[in-house]
Amino acid sequence: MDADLVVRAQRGDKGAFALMASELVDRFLDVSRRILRDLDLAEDATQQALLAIWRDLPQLRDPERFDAWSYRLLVRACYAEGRAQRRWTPNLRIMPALEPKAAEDWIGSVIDRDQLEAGFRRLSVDHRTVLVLHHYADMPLERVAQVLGIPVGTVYSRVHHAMRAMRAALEADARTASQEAAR
Amino acid sequence: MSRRPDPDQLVLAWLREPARVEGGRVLVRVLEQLDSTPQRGVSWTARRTLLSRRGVRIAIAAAAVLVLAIVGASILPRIGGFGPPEPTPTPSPRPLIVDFLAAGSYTLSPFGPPLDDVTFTFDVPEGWEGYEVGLFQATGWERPDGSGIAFQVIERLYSDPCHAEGRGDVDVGPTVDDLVSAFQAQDAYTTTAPTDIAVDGYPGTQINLLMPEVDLRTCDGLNFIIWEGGPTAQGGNRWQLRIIDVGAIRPVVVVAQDYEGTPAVDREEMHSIVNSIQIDT
Repeated sequence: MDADLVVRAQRGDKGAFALMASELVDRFLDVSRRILRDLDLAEDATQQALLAIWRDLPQLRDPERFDAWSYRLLVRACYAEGRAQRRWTPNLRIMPALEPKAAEDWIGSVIDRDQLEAGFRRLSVDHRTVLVLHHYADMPLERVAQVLGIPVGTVYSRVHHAMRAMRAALEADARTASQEAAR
Repeated sequence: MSRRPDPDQLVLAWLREPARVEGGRVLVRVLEQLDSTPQRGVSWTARRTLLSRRGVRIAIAAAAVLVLAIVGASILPRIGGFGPPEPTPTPSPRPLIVDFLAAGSYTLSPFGPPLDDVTFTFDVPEGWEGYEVGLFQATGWERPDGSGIAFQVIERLYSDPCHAEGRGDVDVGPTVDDLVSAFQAQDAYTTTAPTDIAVDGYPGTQINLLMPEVDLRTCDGLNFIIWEGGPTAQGGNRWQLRIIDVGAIRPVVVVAQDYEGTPAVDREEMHSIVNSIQIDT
């Protein structure tokens, strides 16, 4: 993010903030939808994060740290929405299928997709967040640690745990399918 | 039939699937709310309390005496060739940072002169975020389910917290009892009966405040501020105030705040942090 834009928005320039928000909104919505697996919740989280950025921007000491700081506010908004999700909407709507990549035909398998979706939903927001930031947003583990304010070792162990859980979800499905085929 | 790929490849491919998202609707909603969303120059925990100039002079004189006493006490045993054995080093607590906090022990000296020697040390579990003068659950301190802790010094209250611009109109005396009496005399919020407590061996009094349901849009600056330099309260906010006499010119106050909707686990974490507080002066 352009540091000059950040400084202008810090001083209350709404035009500068509007430019910043227009740059951020699609990326934030994409990441939060992947974490929360629900478009409405993701929109709410993105909206809350952008408003929190506007509200708290004067407290950001170093404009160069805007990117990590803004992601932190987004993650916090996702946590808040995730908490509300647990409390108020135990039966989530299934997110519309994302467009499959041609090279990944196996992902087009409805069974695999459902298992991956179910496995991901069983993860805590903590674990979903590290997977999305690391594997989707392509952040190195050190940067994820910086964004979340936790040790790199904790990020690593969360990624490891989350991937193991996702593998288990797929392998459980594979076992079920082979058992049914054997009958 | 093609062979099923490695599960890790499947997971990564699924995670990385491109998506079409259109944030235009969110952007419009955000920009529509800018006018009703004031920027925060200072957060509820970010204000530092400044004491009176007279208080500063008194405290500087007292601090000078204290420094001389400490220096003398540390030198004399060495001159005499005796003294207690050196303590075994232990991991040092880290200074509190304005950021997400890793679990561990932290120190904070939240006050300006003459109370800048007052240092709090406390244990923080994972999931908390630090501010200049306190910390709160990383999910937020706001209603309906937030929680947080702040370290404060209180000189003046506002009799009308909804219109709390400028100086507080209720002067508070320098003792724990003075502050307790000042709170009890207010009718803008509910106070509980005070109880005697001790924090890390320092005597004090606990009094709890329950904030009324208030439409902050009717308040100056959208704030409901109980004391000068203090945090903004929200409707239904429950504040536990531990007013502690640390032998300084004013008591220090540990504010632990939550809501009826705060999850029990968050509340337990908040109390565990408060119960771990150690004070150095």
